[in-house]
Amino acid sequence: MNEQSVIETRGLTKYFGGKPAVYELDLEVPRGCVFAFLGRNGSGKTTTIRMLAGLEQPTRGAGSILGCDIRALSPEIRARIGYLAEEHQLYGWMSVAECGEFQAKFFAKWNGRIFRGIAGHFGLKPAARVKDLSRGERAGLCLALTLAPEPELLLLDDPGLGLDPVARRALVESMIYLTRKSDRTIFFSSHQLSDVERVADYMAVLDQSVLRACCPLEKFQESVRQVRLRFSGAPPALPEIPGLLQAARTENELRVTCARYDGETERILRALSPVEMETVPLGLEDAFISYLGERGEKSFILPDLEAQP
Amino acid sequence: MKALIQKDLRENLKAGLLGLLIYSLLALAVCLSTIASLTHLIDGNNGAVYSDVLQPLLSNDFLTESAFFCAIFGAVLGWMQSRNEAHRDLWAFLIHRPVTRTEIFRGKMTAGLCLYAMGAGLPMAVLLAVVRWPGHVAAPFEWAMVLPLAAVFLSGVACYFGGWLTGLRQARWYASRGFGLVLAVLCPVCVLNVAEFWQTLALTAVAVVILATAVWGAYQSGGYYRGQPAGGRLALIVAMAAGSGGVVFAGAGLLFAAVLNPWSSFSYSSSNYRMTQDGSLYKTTITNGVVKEIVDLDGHPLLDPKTGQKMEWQEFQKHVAAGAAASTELRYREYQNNGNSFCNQGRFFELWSTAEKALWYLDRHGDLRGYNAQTRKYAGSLNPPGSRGALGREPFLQLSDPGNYYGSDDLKLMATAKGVYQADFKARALKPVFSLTNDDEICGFCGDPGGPILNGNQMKFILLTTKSAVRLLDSEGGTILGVPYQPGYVEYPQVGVFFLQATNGSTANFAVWFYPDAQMNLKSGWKMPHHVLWLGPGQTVARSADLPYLHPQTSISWPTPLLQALLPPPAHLASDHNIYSPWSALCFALAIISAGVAWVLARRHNASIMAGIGWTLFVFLLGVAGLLTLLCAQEWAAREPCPNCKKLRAVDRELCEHCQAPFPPPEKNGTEIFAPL
Repeated sequence: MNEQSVIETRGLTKYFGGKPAVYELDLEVPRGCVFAFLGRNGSGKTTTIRMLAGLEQPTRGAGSILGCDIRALSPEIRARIGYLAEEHQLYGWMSVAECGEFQAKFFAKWNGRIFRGIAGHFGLKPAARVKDLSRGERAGLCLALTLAPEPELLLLDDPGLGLDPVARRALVESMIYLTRKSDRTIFFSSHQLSDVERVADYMAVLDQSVLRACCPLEKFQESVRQVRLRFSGAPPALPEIPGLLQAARTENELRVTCARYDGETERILRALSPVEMETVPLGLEDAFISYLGERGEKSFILPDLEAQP
Repeated sequence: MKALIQKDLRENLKAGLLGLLIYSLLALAVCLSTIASLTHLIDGNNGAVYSDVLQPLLSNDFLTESAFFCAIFGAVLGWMQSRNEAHRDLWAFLIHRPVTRTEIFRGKMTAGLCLYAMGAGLPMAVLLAVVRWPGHVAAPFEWAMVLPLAAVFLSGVACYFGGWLTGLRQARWYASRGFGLVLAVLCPVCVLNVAEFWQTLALTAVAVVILATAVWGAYQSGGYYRGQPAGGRLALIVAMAAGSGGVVFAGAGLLFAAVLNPWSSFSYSSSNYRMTQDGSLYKTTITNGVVKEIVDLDGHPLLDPKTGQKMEWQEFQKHVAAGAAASTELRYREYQNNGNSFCNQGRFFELWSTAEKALWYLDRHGDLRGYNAQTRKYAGSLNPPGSRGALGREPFLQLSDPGNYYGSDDLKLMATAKGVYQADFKARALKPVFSLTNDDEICGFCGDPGGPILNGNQMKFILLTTKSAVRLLDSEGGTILGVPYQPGYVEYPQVGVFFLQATNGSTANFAVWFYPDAQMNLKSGWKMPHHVLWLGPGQTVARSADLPYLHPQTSISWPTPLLQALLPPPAHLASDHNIYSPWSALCFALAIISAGVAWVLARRHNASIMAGIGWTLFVFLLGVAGLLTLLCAQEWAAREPCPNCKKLRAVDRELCEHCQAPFPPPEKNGTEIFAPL
């Protein structure tokens, strides 16, 4: 195992019935980074995080977290891991203060100031019952409970779910605050790509249970490119392009989105003899949507659309 | 762990309080019934005294209600403790903290048992305090009377773990989640039916250990079988086996009762000897409740002299000799307790008389103790002088069925080992009727006269058996008849005396009938005959006869042996000694087929050789129930074709079990973006 990795999996696989939820996942997460774990709904993100937290037994494969086998996490290791589940479930009958007191009794490194600070940031009154909190407030409370023990590694399963933009921004700031020390690591899943873009160093993309990308954020953005090709007449038929994600055709234009864009891709495209060839800058969200969106060639020429059944 | 205990206590406090309220009401109800019975007695309405509630600790109704309550309350409490955290994220919140899952289990268990003790134990303790405090209950008390309620309380602990396991278990078949409850429910059922406290204690202890271990195991794996420690898996299998057995038999029973109804063709026939007033013996046969024939010992039908036709049953009854029977089972109460449930009030005392607004009990030590219904306090005892009893007086002997003692509410005939007395409860005095002067001891006694009617009055007799003689006494204790007890009273524990009329040349006035002990007769291959003596004037033996034992005839009905065939083979062998019967063959065939299916399943789903052999043996020993256990407990991994050898392979193995090829990496689609981190 790589000593610089806080999370490492080899062939990690989970089946539910006969269907794989996570398939042969090989992943390494370096210490001290913010790692975004992305994918569409049902792609296996939550299952992976639950397996990493020792809450779900893998069907096969192996994994370690902070050097400990994920099948047998010791209490000492759990004390170093903060886990935030996606639905922010807590005991409804407890008050905010009682939640904090309850949790504080288990964690030696409990930092009451962090708890109170985050709770205050979300406007949580200590006497308020959990069952009376809004979803966003509950998320804030869960976040406070997760961050207050000052864990070395944070596993956050869609922490922004249910939070308004202001609260989400507070969450992002919390994450940045937490990683001020170099040995802190955050592994989180999210659908909020603007947040990811703001804080993440690395990202991994799960597509239908399979890991398709794992790289620094910039590398992903570099690799997924869209090129607009203008032709004097109708665009020619598209040859086979490695890593082609999408191609959209209009009367005299062709927009091609590729993963792993490189010199070979450019050579193939230039061979089509376009009048003009232009690279369209993609943000992370656009790149991500292109990467996981519908694959293949689409036509936006009216007669073609009308001809479709 | 303290925080967890506090959390769970608070979380389930409402359930505990609700249980406390319900059970307090039940306890209050039995106390009110006790008071109502005593009030009836004070008001002179003796017939309305309900003896079951005079000692609430031993009230059969209250114990039954308590058993129901403890089972339901325990199971619901356990179930709630797991269902509160059934949501996977709340479960994760509970589990993901720096404590072991064993500590979490212990914390929750401590809280749950505290709440159970509050809901069920507290009202019991208060009830005990009320009963123990003089002036509340007009009935004997001894600490052993607490054992039934204690057993009921403990049986609820087993149900607590059963309910917890039901809520916690992640089962492939949802109905099988409740299988653990079957083992738990056996405990309260057994409390009210087993003979001794230690038996129910042992069963409850075993059930609690099994179910608690299964719950602990489920905590280690999030409720799944896979991932549990070996102890947890074993406990779960045993709990599931009990549930599977219950389901198999309940299912088969329901099928028989609701659909097939084979008992409609059931027939039962029994033959008995009858003696008529002239001392003649006849054999009567009754089939399915209808008299089939009345024949003499040579098999000739008895003819009615008036009609010349076969004699009708009603007519025959007029000729049957009157008589009385006594068992030699007159013993001290401790002896009589054999076979009775330890919860049975009769183990401790019997209500003997309610004369003069006092309650007289014959307790298990043979002491006749009186309690004042008004003050509800001990009022004194009534025993002959002596030194053998707990009170330093001669203890009374008791029949297994106290109804055999005869007498009014005011006067009762009673016996010690050496004498017969008439107890006068109004005068609170004992009048000696008969006493033995030799070393002999009274061992049988029947006060029910049933004698012939002389001068318009039915004669009063006392049939008394001692270890060496059978005596018929008149109501003043004078001996009418006395014969040696031969054969011995151990082998022939029941004696009948019949009053005869000397006619048709017979001079016999009495017949004495010695009945063989059924268990001993069974062991001897039914070779012990009935022994009958006819006694003439001067108690001379006019004649004697040995009559062969008559077996009841039962038409062979298939449901019982079929149900026996569903038993695990070892249990079947214990219940049906004929190993070569077709039902035994069916039992073994079912076990072998089930074991074969288990082996195939185990191998197909890639269990190790040892696990396969273990499951196969287990299923063979338990039969169909074992197979059901395997299907309920095991979580089978999915199988998919191996790209290398094309055979189906289990997905939970790193290598294909057929060709040892590893799983292929995910297929690439050309869009992969990987870079060093």
